[in-house]
Amino acid sequence: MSVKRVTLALDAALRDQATLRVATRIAAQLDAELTALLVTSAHLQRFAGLPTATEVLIGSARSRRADPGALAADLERLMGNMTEHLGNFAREMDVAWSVARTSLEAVPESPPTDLLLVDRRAGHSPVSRAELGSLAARLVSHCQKSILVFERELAPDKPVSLLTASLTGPALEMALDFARSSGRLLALIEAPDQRSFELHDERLRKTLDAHPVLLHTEWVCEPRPRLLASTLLGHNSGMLVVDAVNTLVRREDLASLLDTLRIPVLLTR
Amino acid sequence: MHALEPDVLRTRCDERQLRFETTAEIAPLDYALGQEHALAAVEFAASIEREGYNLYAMGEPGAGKYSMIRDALTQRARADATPDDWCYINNFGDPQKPIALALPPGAAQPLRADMEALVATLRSAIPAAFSSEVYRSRLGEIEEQFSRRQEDAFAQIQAEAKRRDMAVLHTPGGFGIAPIKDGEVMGPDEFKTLDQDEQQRIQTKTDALKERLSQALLQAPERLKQKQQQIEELNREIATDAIQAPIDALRERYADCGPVLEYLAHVQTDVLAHLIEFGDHSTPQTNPLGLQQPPSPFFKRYQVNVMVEHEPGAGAPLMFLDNPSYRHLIGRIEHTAQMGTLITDFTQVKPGALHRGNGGYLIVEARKLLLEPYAWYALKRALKAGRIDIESIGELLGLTSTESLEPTPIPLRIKMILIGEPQLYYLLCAHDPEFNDLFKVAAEFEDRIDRTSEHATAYAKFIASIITKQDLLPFDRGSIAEVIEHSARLTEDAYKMALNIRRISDLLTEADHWAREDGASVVSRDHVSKAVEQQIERLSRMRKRLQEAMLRETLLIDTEGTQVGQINGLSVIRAGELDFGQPSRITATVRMGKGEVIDIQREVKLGGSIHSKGVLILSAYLGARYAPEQPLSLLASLVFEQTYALVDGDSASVAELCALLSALAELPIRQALAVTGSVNQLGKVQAIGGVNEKVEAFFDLCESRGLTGDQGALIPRANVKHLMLRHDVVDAAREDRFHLYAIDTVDEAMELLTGCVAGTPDGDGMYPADSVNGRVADRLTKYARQRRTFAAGNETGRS
Repeated sequence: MSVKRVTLALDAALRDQATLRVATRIAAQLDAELTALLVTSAHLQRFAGLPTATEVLIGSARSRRADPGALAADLERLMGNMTEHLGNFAREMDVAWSVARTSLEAVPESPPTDLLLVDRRAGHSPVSRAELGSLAARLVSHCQKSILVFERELAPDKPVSLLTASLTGPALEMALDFARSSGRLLALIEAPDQRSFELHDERLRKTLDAHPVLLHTEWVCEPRPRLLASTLLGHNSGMLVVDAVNTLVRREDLASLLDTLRIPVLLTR
Repeated sequence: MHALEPDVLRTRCDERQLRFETTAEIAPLDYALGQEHALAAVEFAASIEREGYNLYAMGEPGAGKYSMIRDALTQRARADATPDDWCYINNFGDPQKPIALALPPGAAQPLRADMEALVATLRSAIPAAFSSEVYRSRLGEIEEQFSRRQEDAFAQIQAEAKRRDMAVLHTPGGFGIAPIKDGEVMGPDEFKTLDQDEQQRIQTKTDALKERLSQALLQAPERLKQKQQQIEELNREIATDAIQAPIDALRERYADCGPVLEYLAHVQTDVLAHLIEFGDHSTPQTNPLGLQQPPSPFFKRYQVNVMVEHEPGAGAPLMFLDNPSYRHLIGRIEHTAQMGTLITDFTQVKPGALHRGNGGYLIVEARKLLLEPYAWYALKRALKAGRIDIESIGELLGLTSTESLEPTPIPLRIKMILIGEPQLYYLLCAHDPEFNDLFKVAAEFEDRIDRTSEHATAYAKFIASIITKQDLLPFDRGSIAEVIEHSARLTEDAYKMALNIRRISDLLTEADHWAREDGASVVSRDHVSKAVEQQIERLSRMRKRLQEAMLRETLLIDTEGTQVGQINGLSVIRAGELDFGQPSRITATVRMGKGEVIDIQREVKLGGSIHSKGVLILSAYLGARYAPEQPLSLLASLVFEQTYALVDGDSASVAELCALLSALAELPIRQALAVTGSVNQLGKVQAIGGVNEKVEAFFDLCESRGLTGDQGALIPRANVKHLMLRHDVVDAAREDRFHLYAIDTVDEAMELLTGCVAGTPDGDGMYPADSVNGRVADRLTKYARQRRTFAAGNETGRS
């Protein structure tokens, strides 16, 4: 499988253009189309309708009265800015692109995509803000699509790490897609014992026989995210691909893993 | 009157004086022959360490001034202290004013290499330091710390909001505060259902949280600023660690050189201020067209521009500047065209000869220097100021507005030596008031030396040294004698020898050539003679044309018979290196007049002032000698027949006077004779130049027509000592086929030319009637009488 379509989920917390640039670069790297999706929340609409609704502005720290009309205008402006900047980046990197707007609830049904991108800092919900941006957190929790959570640029010259137990399916394929640029793949194979690991290892090597990638494998068997993090750091890994079927990294561990590694993590479905 | 003895026509070199068979046996001369005074002046100028004691070495071209000065100063220069090396380095504070840096001899190139190595080291060490795990982790810590502080601030607000059943939301413009219920933001409809107190409480909580949010946001820029400061401090610390060791290594190496240490301190500061330029540039940069960009010019600022370097212990420089243009002398500032603009920097400052010769000696040809625009002015300015200011001529004249530099002047301590002709020296003394202040010492190089037996031996050694230097065949004794005789001929004096190294050297080289052509292993007298003949032959086209014209009687010159009022004069024509003589027919006519002698050459402006002077002198002679007490009632005209170019000099004045006397006395002149010499108002014959060429020219003509034994030439007695005639002329004289007469007076000349006694006055001042002078006096008396009669007739007619 090759990723053909990439969707970037954004929310009203979009503060700078870095997220757009990173997403465009990922799309360019994968030679995929990019859709930027502005996800609006019902919370914001309700907030704007409150008689007590007051906004404290980021630049000046001034406060102003909020209302649905002003919010709608702000979102329109945000959409306009996003369109302009994304257009610039996409033209620069020769990427096919589009923009759309939807609600959080409609994201799973929103445009078909092979990979959902989300900035880990994205969030507008009052809930679960601290650990992972709520938009990111909600998408990770509820969306049944492959999600790449990132905070910084990808490092295409560094090896890609794959945490897997299945050795087949989208996780391996996506990992190979991302490993094309560095030519190095670190497979962290989850296996109950040494023998199983060796069998998996042999199978994986056969599978990758035709791929121009340098493979290194390691056996992992304990559900210890910090140990996993130190392994990834030791191999100077630039990205982690986590197979949905693994049992070692739970979705709730993702935030602490990201905090420790500060590298993009791709969760496949 | 007797003809001169053949032996005096060419004073031969006595070969017995030369005590060797060939020059291979004699040691070359180890001193400059005949230049003791000049070299003493050179030594004086070189040894006196005072301002303005520069040297002007004067002498004729080809005298070997340069080589003698060079030889004289080489030893001294080697013993002198080796001057400092000089460099230009970037002025980090003001790049338009590069700094001149003095370094011990031999230290400039190592410093340049050290700086190049330092920059290369820094260009890898600094990116390496900034990509190290240490830096990354410390940068991460700062980022983390900042993020944490930022998030902590909001997390506290978030937590407080949560405690109060409120939520902080991200809005497109900032943050909003809303009440929550069951984990969801309360809607407006639900809010309306709350009682007034509850609504007021929510409002109060909103206001309090709003205030805290405002404060947190206000602190954000300050936190960001702090973060930036921390990052800058970290960068500085990391960079300092990276550059300290290599710069300290240089500090240790140049510990004794204060200016270099100061420079290194500036370099360190500048590197730390431009760390961004030391980023990882390992990937080639391309421009929008995909072409590779040139390497960053930024690092040129750390280059060392070596202006001048010296090998330690090599002594002072001794330089000759062949092309003393302004830029070659003072140095220049080059420019590079970039995007249509001319730009420059301290690396484009190029040294001149003053830089290279600084601390030593610089030799320049005065004529070339004076012909180069502004070079003389610039040299004087540098010598007066005692420093070298590099400035383009355009700037000097205020003609250009291109960006340029003002390099720090370099102190100048140099001994300037100008070499040139004496005339230039006298002109400079007369017309340039600064010249004598700046060139206080004059060295006068001799162009000749007395031809004594002692000097002949030294001269042979002098020749031997040229032979050795030019790797010529050995010369035998006879050939050296021939060279000495030719050397005397060059000086136009039988008792002198020429010191013109170039001409002697040319003669030796050519004699060597003819010897080799002959397959000889030693150069003989014949080879030298052939070299002389060939030198003349190569330049003889004009001479031969003129002679041919005389032989074909296009140019009318008689060499036999007699003629009244007609005489053969002799002149010299210069054709490049060759002087040759030419016989000219001079005629005179006389009639009654008012005492005028018309010089036709002067009337048509083909006579030079010296020639005119000669004619005026002979007019005065006529009047004073033959008509002291009566009006000189003569109208005479004199002309050089068939001359179409300017005639100058007074060497024909004897001939002109003789032609005039012949016309007056009506005595024919022997055309087999030619005359040269100038005359004074008392009738005495004076020396002239070019006597050898003149005699030889008449000889050649006579010989071509066939020597009769009557032919010959009259020369001033004062010129006998100058005779160094060709061998064939001497041989003809020895065989009585051609004669040379030395005359002291016009009377002697007239007697020889007319065969008539000149005549001496008696007690009454009267000359014998048949004598030359008696006939002249008689004729003039007749003219005076006629003039009186004529004048009286006119008076009668008017009355």
